[in-house]
Amino acid sequence: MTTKMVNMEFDGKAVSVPEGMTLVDAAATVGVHIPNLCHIKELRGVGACRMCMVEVEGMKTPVTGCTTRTKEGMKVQTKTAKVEEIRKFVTDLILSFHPLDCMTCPKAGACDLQRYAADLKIQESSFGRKTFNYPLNDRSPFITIDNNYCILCGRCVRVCKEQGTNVLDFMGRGITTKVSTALDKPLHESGCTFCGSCVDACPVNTIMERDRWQHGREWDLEKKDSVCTACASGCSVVVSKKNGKIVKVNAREDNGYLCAIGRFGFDSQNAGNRVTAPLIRQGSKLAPAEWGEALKAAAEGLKKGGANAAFLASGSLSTEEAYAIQSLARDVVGSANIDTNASAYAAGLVSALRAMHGNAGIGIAAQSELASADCVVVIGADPSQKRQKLQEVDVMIRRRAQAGAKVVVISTEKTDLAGHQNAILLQVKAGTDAVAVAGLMSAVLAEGVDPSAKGLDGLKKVLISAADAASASGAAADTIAAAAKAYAAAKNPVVVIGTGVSMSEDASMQALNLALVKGAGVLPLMLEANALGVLQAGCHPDLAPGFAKVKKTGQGYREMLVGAKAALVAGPLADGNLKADFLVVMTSHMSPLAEKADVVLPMTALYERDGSITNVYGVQKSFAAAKDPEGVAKNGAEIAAELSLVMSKTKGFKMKDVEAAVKKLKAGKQSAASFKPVAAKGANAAAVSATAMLSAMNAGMLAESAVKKVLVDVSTAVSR
Amino acid sequence: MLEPSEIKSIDDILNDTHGQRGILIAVLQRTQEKIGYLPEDAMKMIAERLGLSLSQTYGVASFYKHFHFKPRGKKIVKVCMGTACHVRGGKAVLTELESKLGIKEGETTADRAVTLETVGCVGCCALAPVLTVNDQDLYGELTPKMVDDIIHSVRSEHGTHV
Repeated sequence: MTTKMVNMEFDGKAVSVPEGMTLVDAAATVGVHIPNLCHIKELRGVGACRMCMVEVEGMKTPVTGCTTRTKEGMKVQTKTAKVEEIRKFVTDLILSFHPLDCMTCPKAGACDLQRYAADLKIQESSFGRKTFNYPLNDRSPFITIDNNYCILCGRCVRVCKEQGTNVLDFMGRGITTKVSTALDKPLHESGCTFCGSCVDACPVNTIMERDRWQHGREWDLEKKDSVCTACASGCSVVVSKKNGKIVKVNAREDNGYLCAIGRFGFDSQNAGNRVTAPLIRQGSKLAPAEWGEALKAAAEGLKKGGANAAFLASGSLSTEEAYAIQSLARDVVGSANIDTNASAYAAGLVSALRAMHGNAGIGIAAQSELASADCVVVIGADPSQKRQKLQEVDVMIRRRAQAGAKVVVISTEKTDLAGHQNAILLQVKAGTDAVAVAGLMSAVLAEGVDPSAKGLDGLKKVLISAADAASASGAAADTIAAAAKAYAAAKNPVVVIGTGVSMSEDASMQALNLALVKGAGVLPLMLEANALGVLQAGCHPDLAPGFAKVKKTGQGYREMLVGAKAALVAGPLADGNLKADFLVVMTSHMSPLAEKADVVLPMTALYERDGSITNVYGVQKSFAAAKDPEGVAKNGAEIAAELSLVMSKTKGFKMKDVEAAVKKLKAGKQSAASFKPVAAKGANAAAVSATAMLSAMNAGMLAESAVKKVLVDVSTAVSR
Repeated sequence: MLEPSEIKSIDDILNDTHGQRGILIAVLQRTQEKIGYLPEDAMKMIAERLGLSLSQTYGVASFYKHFHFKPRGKKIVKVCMGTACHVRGGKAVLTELESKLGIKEGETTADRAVTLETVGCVGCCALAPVLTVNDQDLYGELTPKMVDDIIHSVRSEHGTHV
């Protein structure tokens, strides 16, 4: 999708900006800041605060920059005496009821109101002072609301509504209007998921992280960009530290959302179950040891395993870590037995993608594609904020639904997403997803979509009529027709394929056909942060790095679980029932599997790691460590490299070899469109449900985190 | 918890207005007519059936003074706080009522007999200060000393005019 650019002027400077963008956003793209207190990028402007008034040549009166859109030849003045006067008046009024305690306020330095008051040289309101004496609402974990500071801009209400969480609203009216929940209940009793979008949206200090008071002011904080690797979304974040400790995590603006785990889960770094030193088994106990001894013990055990040793790499590892581990397995230990969790929960999808790729060139839908979709078909997936399943994907889809896009849900149960008023649910009997999708396809073709235009002439032969599909799957015929109509009419459709169908090659294939016939973007919903990157790095029995064919295939996930002579597991595993005579576990937190290990090697945790991932949208993200590791924990790639050198001076490799190899990998197959996954071994070899996988993924990390309690609370709390 | 008969009434109202857009306020009004106020469970039922969030439903309802979220008394005593009543001591009457009834303005006695509220102007400023009971009976030219008698007559089934 290309946007038309228009030529216009901001303050006499000629610029080229996208057509139809709001003046505030367009100005920002060329480095001009139009003051605003209620605008949020990407959301529809409401023109409430009147700070963004600008003068446009040819218009009698100043207009709001957040609701006026760019046009060819427009001439905008953002700093005239007239608009400055308006802004001054607005700020003056707001300051008449906003406490002036910037000297202790934790938001100072990042407060929009403070900034504008300073710019407009307003020290004190010229109006009388109004105080409310609202009690501080600190009844919920993680987030406090202090209505005394609220300027009623409504940013929080709008982000909450747009993303479908919908727990905040304006209560009452006039000057005593209060932003709160229904009946002023605590957030955790109102269906809040503690994503903290409202915290990021608040221009002042009304809605804040709970523990910000006296924990560093903005200019004390050392800020570092990083990436959350807790799930497949791989959200971009800004980590703020004081005295080497993380005090808060915010979503990076281009990301727009961050869930409770990414935002508040950093307390897991120094939780009681954190592994901070290497551990070696001594009888029934694991005892702390030096790195040298631990590596030696691990090396000896793995050597005994030799060609029979098993290697399992979690999809949460960075590409560098994954590459180093496959290198350790294949080049140093000499074993071809290496696999990743994706083989346990998405094998069908991986092989179907590969099969389609050769002839049709299918691409993974980018986040921007989903953000502009006018119809989203969700097959066998249940992204849900309330159930902590790929929250960010749920938010992206809900934002589109809120903007009027149709969401077609094909599922065996009524998912949260299916409850949206713009959703069309095709509720199908278990195991009939493929039939339902094929029936939907017939109905789409009946709407006049021509498959031959996409080179899919053969499609008609394999279709099932919509009526047959309806009776076989149990989905109502008229809902299939309605869904087909919405999909056929869509200009920018996206098809989301979840792990619910991804173990079945047939259902995955049908879903891909459906996408191809409209040229829709496909979003294969992997679950782990770097599921795609770990495959790219070659952690798969059939795959060498870069999706090349291996010379010798090894054992897959399920075969390895049964019992190996020696095994090395890096990161959380989908299935803890691994049996091995000698077990090495590389992990950041203790887990039931780590308890059984002979050697435990401490890995760096969330925000302590550096490396790169390929997230669910096929985007490669590199990140640096935002904080020093706890104890003597090390990056997984470094551990693998050191281990390789202990095992063999000649075959061993160094960290810089890994980095160079990964750099080459990334350069080789960069774009999402050229992603070529290869068939997994046996499509139905090891089904692990998405729910089981998701709970296993972060179980260790969250076991002793305060987030866990909230997540439990949230899932049992009253629904909206 | 709602009584089965109350659930039935709300259900009827929702069925009656099914499919109409912008119907929330009308539904709230009719529900309050039936039940006397808007209990939480009724709000939840309405929000769910209209496809709105609970916070949004409360957001709309709390905008209007007309809607009540707590049970109200049998008798609604409204003390006038208009200009004339204010000048002639309406506030003192309200304070006396508050202390004698043991409730604050906007609250209801524990036995749900009396709800105490204030009102802008009733339109009979010559009688100031005044109060009304259930928007029907009017008490005028009040002094704090008269409050005991007024409470007595309000609490008895048939209020007498002064």
